[in-house]
Amino acid sequence: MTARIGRRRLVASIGAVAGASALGGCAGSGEVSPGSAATSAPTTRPFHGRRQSGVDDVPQAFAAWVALDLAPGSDRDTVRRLMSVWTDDIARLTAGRGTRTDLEPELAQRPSELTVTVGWGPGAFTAAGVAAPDWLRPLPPFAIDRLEDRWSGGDLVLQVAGECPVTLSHAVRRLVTGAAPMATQRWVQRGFRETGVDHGGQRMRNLFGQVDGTVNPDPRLADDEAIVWDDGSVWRRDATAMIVRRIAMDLDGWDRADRRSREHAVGRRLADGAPLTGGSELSPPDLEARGPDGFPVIDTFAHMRRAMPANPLERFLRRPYSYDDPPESVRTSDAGLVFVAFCADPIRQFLPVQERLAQADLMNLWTTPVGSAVFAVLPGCAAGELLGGDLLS
Amino acid sequence: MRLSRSAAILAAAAFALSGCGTSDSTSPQSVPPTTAAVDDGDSQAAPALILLVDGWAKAVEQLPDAGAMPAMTGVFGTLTNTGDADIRLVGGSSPVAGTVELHETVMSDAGMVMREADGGLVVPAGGSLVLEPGGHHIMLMDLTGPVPAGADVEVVLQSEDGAEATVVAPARTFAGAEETYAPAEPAHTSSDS
Repeated sequence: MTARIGRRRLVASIGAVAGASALGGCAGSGEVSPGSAATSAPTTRPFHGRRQSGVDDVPQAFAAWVALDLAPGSDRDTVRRLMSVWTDDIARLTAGRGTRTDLEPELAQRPSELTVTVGWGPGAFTAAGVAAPDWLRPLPPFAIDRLEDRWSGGDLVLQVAGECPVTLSHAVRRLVTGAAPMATQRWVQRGFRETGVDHGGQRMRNLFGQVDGTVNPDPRLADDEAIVWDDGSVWRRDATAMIVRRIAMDLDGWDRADRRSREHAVGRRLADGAPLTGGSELSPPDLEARGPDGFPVIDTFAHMRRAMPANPLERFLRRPYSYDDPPESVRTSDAGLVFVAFCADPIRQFLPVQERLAQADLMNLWTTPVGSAVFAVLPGCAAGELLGGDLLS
Repeated sequence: MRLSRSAAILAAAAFALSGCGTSDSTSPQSVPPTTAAVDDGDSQAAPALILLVDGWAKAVEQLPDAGAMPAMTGVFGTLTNTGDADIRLVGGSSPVAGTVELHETVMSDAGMVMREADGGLVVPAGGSLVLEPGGHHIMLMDLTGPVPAGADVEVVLQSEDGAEATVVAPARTFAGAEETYAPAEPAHTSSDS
């Protein structure tokens, strides 16, 4: 029983309105009874906007970083098509919907604060024929480095973070398989952390038990905003640099250090992160204070002293995660920190601090950088726009 | 936007207003497709609306070598008819294909078999028809060139009385829908899609 279309209008859209069902289906809270406290808790984070998510928002409990390399012979069209696929896929996944090709969209239904942050390495700029920011290059080698290719470099990066590891796993898989054959996976790192502790309350703790990120800027404050986000004076407004360093932590060696030695190494109390000169976590340290023996209370080579900014520019936003992977040998652990930092200009803000720590830092006794990569996080995009669209136009 | 003699074909404004950088809406804020008034002399008839929601085409990065079997691919998504009358689609065309067929999946003695839909595909009034790997789909045969992932594929669908509707499906990398095709037989079968 088919109607005659004949002289009527047959209107076709290119894709069209998804029945306005996206929002209703994205909350992942369908099993929560209306009116309960849980329904008011947001389970999605925005994708569209002038800045990408996953940078200055509260870090979620789980994250994965996937570096990809473009296929040989890739050009601007390749990069544009990849950005087209990812922009579409990310908009759907972060809203709690499957991708277009998704045969298991149920795994996307609980977005659980999912964010996907896209960055370009030098190779993406070269392929696209676009000038890269001046700061976008590998960090110089440091004497403490034991870098491995399998954790370093990459033409592109996806940082996928969320509160649900199942949702996150599915999103990573869809984004990586959907990128083929334009780009293939180079390395993947996964991490976890305490959740909801980055703003206001206590900072996260790393696997050494140390409070991590005490001196983080608060990008919500106007004075700190320019630490993270390029105001247009460095490269591009609302862009930022993502530095990913994989820091192996020797838990066996750490076990042999007593608690006082551990606090001595970092210059802070383990209990609350306060400087050894007293106060609370956020108290400024007294770097001149000396103990009864005449030695500095905060050691000359304590991590916190060496990491102190020498000038107000030397600050950046840390968004680190721990990792604890199965060891490959007879070692008891393969654990450490996926050190992730964001800043507008890594050369001016990050590199001087890193150089001081590489020269001397008591924590270097137990930590070894094994991976390093730098990416340019693109500005965000509005609905109807392409991530990186202004670069590719 | 293209107009045919028998019907006005309107590419909906949803393209520009919808999901980030794609040809489809993922946003609840999207406005309905514009049913721009194109007077075809039958202004009393309510416009019929065919939309391809969440459409996509399986990417074909490289055409087979000459002499091999011709390249083909499928277009999937949800055809939605917001009009008040059923629409029977009977064929189509595409700039990237020599032939476009509408395929259905039916049970036969040999299992599920895909074949050109006898009598076309009907999108019910106020309803929809799901096109998916292993089910109904639009088949693009004799591809004239690669269909790389991330590119848009345009397909013109024809209704039984000659009206045409243009839909666009972005190409996506997809591991399934690896259909076999035996030119000597009236149907092709699929083992895993």
